[in-house]
Parts: sequence; C-alpha cells; structure tokens
Amino acid sequence: MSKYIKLSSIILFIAITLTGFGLYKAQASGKQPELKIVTSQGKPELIEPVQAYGFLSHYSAGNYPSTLKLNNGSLSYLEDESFFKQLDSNINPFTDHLISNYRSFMRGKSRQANQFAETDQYILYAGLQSDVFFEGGNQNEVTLAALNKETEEEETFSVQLENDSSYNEIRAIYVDYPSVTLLVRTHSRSDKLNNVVYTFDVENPEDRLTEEVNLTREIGSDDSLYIGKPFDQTERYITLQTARENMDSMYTYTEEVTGYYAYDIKEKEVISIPSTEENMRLFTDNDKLYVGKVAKDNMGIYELKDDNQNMTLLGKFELSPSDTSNDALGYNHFNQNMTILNGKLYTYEYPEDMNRPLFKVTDIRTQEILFSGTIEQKDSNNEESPFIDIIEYRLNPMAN
Amino acid sequence: MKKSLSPLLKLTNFELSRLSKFLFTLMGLTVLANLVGYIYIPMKFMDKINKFTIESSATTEEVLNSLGTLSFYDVTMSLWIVAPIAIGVSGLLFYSIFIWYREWFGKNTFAYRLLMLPVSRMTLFFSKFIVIFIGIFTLISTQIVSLFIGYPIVSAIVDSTYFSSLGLIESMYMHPLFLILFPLEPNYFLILIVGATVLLVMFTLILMERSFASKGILFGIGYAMVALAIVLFPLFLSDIFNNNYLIYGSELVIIEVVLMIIVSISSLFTSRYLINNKITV
Repeated sequence: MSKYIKLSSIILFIAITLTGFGLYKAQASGKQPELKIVTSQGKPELIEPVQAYGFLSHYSAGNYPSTLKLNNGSLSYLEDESFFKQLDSNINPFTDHLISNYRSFMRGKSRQANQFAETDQYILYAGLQSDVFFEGGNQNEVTLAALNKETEEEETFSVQLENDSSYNEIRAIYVDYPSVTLLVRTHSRSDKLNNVVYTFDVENPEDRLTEEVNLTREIGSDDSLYIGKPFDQTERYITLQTARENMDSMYTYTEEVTGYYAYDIKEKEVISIPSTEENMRLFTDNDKLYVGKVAKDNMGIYELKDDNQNMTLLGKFELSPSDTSNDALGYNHFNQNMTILNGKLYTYEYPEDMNRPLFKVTDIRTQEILFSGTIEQKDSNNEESPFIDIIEYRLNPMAN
Repeated sequence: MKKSLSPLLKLTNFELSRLSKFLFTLMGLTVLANLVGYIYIPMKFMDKINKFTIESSATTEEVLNSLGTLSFYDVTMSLWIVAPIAIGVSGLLFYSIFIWYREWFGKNTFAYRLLMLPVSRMTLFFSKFIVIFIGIFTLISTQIVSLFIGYPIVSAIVDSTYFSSLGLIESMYMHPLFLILFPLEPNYFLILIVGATVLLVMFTLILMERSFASKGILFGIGYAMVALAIVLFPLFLSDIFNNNYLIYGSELVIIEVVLMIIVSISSLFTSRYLINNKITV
C-alpha cells in the first residue's frame, strides 16, 4: 500500500479541496431571498396578466444581481431553472412564452416579441431575413407564418414588399384574423425614413404587398415615430407619437414629443389627436382610444369619442411624482409602464421610499383600485429589502 | 475487473512518480508566487495610501476618491497569480507531449520495455491520460487552497477602510481564468469534455507520428484538422443556413457534446490500433 502513497495522497488532496470548495461556494454564493407578492389592496389574482423580468440585488445574494421572473402571479429566479432551460430562455416574457410553448414554431424565427401576435386560436409572425441573420439577404422579402394552436398546423408565406428601400424593418404586427397588419420602417436609398402600413390576408395570400398607408407622409413630419408598446396586438388602433431630438450639449440630448396620433386599422386612416399643454399619454383598448393627461400628481383619462376630437373625462388617477416626470420614450416604443387592458389601467411605478416596483390595477370607469401590491421577502423578520429593477414588462391579454 | 485495474493502478502510480517532481515544482511555484502577490501588492497599496495621506494631508474620503479601494480581485488579476497559472497550463501541455516522447529518449529506449509489458498497451495509454488529468486537478486544487490562504492575508494587510467588500467567491466569479478553471458554473462539465477531447486527439497525433515518422506528422495534422472541423461544424450552421435561430442553445450544446464524444471515441480506437499494430521503437 505504501507504494501508492503519493497517488493516494494527491487524489485525497484533490477530493478534499474540491469538496470543500463546493461546500464553501454553496454557502458563500448566498441564497436569493424568497419573495412573494404582497397585496395591499384589492384582489391578488388581478396581478396574473403581468409578466415581468427584473434584476434583483440583495446583500445576501452577493454582488451579482439575480434575474427575477414574475409570471401568472408567482415569482421565480431564472438562475433556478435548469442549465439547458436557461440557454433557451429569452428575457422578453412574450418571446419566452412562445419558445417554451411553441418551440417548433419558433425555430428559425426572430426573437423580437413585436414581430409576433397571439390570438386565442393563432400565433402569427412576420420577419425579414435580416431579423434572423444579420448579414441580410433580400431585404424586401417578408416571411409570414401562422400557427393554428389547436391543430398545430403551420402555414408559411413568402411575400415581397413593394418599395424601393435599401433596408426595411418590421416594427410591429397586429392581427384581426385573417388580416395581419405590418408596421414597417423603410430606409430609402436617399436615407429618408418612412413608416409604412402593409396588410396581408392569411386566407387569401398574395405574393406582393403594396403600401397601404404611409404614416410618415400622412402625419407630415420627419420627426421620429414611436409606437405605443403593443401587448394586445388585436386592438383596433395603433397609438403613435412623434418626437424630436434637441441637442443639449455635444453629448446629451432630450426628446421632445411633437405630436400624438393613432392609426385606425379598421378604417385605414391616421387620426391626429389634439395635444394640450399637459404631458399626454395615449392608450388603446379593444376598439377604444384613450388619452391620459398627466398633471402634477395625477392623470386624467379621457375617452375619445367617435369623431376623435371630443374627449370625455372618465376619471383621475393618482400618480407618484417619479411616474409623472417619466416621459416614457424608450427605444422605438413608449408606455411600457402604463397600459389599459380590458377596461383596467395597469401601472407599475417606483415610489420614492421604495426600491422595488409598486403594481396597481385600476378600473378606468369607476377609478376603483382593483389591485395594489409590491414584492416583499417571505421572511418578514428580514428588514433588508431587495432592490428590484424591472427590465422587461408585458401584459398577457390571454390571462384575462 | 480486478485483474485489469491493478496494472492500470500500478502504471498510473508509476507515471505519477515520474511527473511528481515537475508537478511539485509547479505547485511550489504557484504557492510561492501567490504568497509574494498576497503580501507585496497590498503592502504597496497601503504604502501609496500612507504616502498620499502624509504628503497631501488628505482625509480618508479624499484618499478614497483619489486612490479608491483594493479588492482581492485586484490582487488575483496581478501577474503574481496569473503568471503561475499560465506556467502551469503551458507546463502541463508540454508534459502531455513529453509524457510520450520521454520513452524514446536516451540510449536504452524505455518504450521498448513498456510496450513489452504483459498488459494491454491501452493500459499504458490510459495511465498517461489519467496522470495528466491528475496533474491538472492538483494544480487547480493548489490554486484554490492558495486563494483561501491569500484572502485573510490580503484583508489583514489592507486597512478595512480601503479594502473592498468584494468577497473571495465573488472575486473568483469575476476572474476570467478562474471561471474556466474552477468548478464555479454548471457548464464546467463542458470544459472537462473539451479538455479530455483535446488530450485524446493530441495523444493520437503523437502516436501517429511515432508510428509513421514524418508521414505520421502529416496524418496527425490531417486527423486533428478533421476532428476540429467535426467539432466546430455546428457553430457554422447559422452561416450555412443564413439563420441564427435554427438551433436552440441547448441543442447546440448537446450536439457539441455528442460530437466531442464521437471524436474522443474515434481517437481512442485509432490510438488502440496504432499502439497495438503500428508503433515502432
């Protein structure tokens, strides 16, 4: 035995060190705090349509933020999922839902959530070659796909966009099955940007799509065009804002909203919404159009009547100062943190005394708070609150 | 089972004895260089702090604003820690080649005696393979132990005001080399599979050269290139089909693991054929 002393001691040294290291790592890496949704007002089940991803920092979890997932009213950590599941997951809740439930349909398709739309029966997709492979290909050829959720049958169409652009970009799709509306940003060879609407009929497919409405031309402004963050892409209107960049210094600029519009998918026309001196927010829900006028600590929600010029005040809603100051223009979109879905206003905000989001659901007609709540630690003795920053937020229209 | 394990154990023990001097040198070098780093870097930092405080009569806050804090991560990124790792990796890489060629050196070729042993020649192959892995894990373990010794040394030398709160494990997670070498993430098994495949292909390459002399070098290079092409092929599927989302990340990992296992098994069979039928002394 003594002749194996060197071999056995080295193996023992390795075994002890690696086991000890494993134990130390498990203990020192820190456990993410166990969290729960705490309802301070209303019915807890009303948080169920909210899907969000956020970064969580907490002293017990070390210096690395964990990725928190809110889905169907329950909280979990991305890090707790299996290694293989983590490899396939997507930070956008809608894309993640599609990958998890329609894996085969998602194969070879873009990962941009706004290029997909879901109805009770179908999932629709529109994408260009540049959406799946960065080195391009034919920039005018759109692949459209429709998946019947019940029969799992997939139909794929290849259509040509009729324009002379050097580059196209699908910004969002909307569906009123079998009609699919595509909002496309076209880059002409003279560097001029146009936002164009195309329509495709899944049941009467055509090889070529002709421009239906040129939003840029209709609006008559070269300012940047932002789209209201689309969660339910089956609605009648697409809310739009134009904004201009004002250079504050050589390195910084602010964006000033220059106009409010909506595109009526049914009537195929652009509606200009009269702006006021107050900060405005635009919302759409089913076949209704709403305007939010933001004051110092509240927001009045108005319903646009048939002529789209007269507004009726539905009620005023309290807003935290942090939220009123937020002009909410993000990359390509606005309104991530405020949405009206099926007659309810969903908001999340960061009150000044809290380092995590406060979720609220309010009935827009009665102004009754149907749900108000935040994320807390399960261990109520633990005074240290985690810091949670929402990075992706979505409302699941199917959850209602 | 017992019959075949005993020669493997004996040969592994024998190979380890031959490696031990080199391995202990690398271990000693690692510990010594690291210790110098654990003492020298924080002392130099504190020296700088003291000098700055005296020369500019600065308050603690001003010192912190100007010089910042020192973390254990800063120490681990120094040459005193990184250089021994680089020497260890290249040393073992060199030894992986030397472990075969040493048998052919000298007047009385030891290879003849080894190959004439009344055991399967693959036992010799496996013993060399196992010893290299023992060497790798010994150096990894030495580095881990050294870091556990180093952390209290550094924190004792640096005044707590100027010592960053970054812990030992966080410093490891931030370090690009430790992320690959230490079992920190679940994907560590992939690194082990890559390492084992590279070593098996390299052994096959050496055996080809030993079997067919200069022609063997060409065969070896050809074999290594084919193996590399097989393993890397799935990474180019997106370019072939002009689509980045055709294969899911998890599927790509599974395909890569399967291909590496195929390459490893073919290397084992090729090596067995060469060592049994073609090798010359």
